Amino acid sequence: MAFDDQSDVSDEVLLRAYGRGDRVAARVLTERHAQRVWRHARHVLGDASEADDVAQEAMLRLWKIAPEWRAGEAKVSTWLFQVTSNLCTDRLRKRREVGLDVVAEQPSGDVDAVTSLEQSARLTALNRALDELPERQRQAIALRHLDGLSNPEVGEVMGISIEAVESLTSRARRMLRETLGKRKAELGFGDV
Amino acid sequence: MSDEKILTETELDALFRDMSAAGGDIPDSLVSRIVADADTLALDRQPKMDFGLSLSDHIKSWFQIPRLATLGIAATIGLWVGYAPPSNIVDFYPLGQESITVNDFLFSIDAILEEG
Repeated sequence: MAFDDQSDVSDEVLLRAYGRGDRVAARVLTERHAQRVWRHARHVLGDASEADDVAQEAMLRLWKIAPEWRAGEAKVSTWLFQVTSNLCTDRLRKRREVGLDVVAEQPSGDVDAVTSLEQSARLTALNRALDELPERQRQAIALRHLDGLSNPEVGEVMGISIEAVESLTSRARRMLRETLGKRKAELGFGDV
Repeated sequence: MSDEKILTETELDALFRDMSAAGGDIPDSLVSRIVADADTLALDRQPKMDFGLSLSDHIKSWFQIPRLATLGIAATIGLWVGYAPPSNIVDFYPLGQESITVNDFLFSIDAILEEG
């Protein structure tokens, strides 16, 4: 299977091809999904090296399940998000058990120094506020507002109804608005 | 009463957009490791030669191949004709030029068997 000819091939077909030994199919699937998986892990965990581990583990589980993948059972992207979310939840629980307080890292970008400092402060504050949320709310917020999934997609990943998703995100948003509101001025939001 | 100590929905969405945009790109080294995992598993799944088959399994496998089966049958018939030919088979050797070596061999085998 040539790498360049895969744009019209579905994830499911590629995964089954990989299950039969087609390594090019795995490269295409990596190209399509690894970035999103990694970014979701980063959004939830706020730590690059943990996100790397989770992303690699999630993709490894996909490779392992490929020979047994049944057509029409689930979307590959949804399945990957489910696995990634579960792996992130496990890590968050371990962190809390151990009492680890992870300071979220911020990626560097091509912005001027002032904007960069302000942006860095905002993102650090948001990460800390996200860290205070219950796990399910954090997961729902990350999937919906950081990874850009729709409410039905979030429901599919988390195994809950759309109404449950809306309830989780609504409560999470309220909590974040209150937590971050105390630092409104330093985050660069003026009084109305 | 105004919510001065609370972010507006718009302000919160702005934070989400900032964080989403600052997500960064997956490191190339991680992509390489993911692909390497896939390659390793794919290699592990390729069928290997199994040297643990029993002798009977090996012999059976020969007769599953049509040409070898034909060869086997031909060899069996050849041995049968050579050792105990049916009487209606014509001996193509010219008269008086029998294969002394073969007959001598066969006679000596008979002699050994008779002696016990």
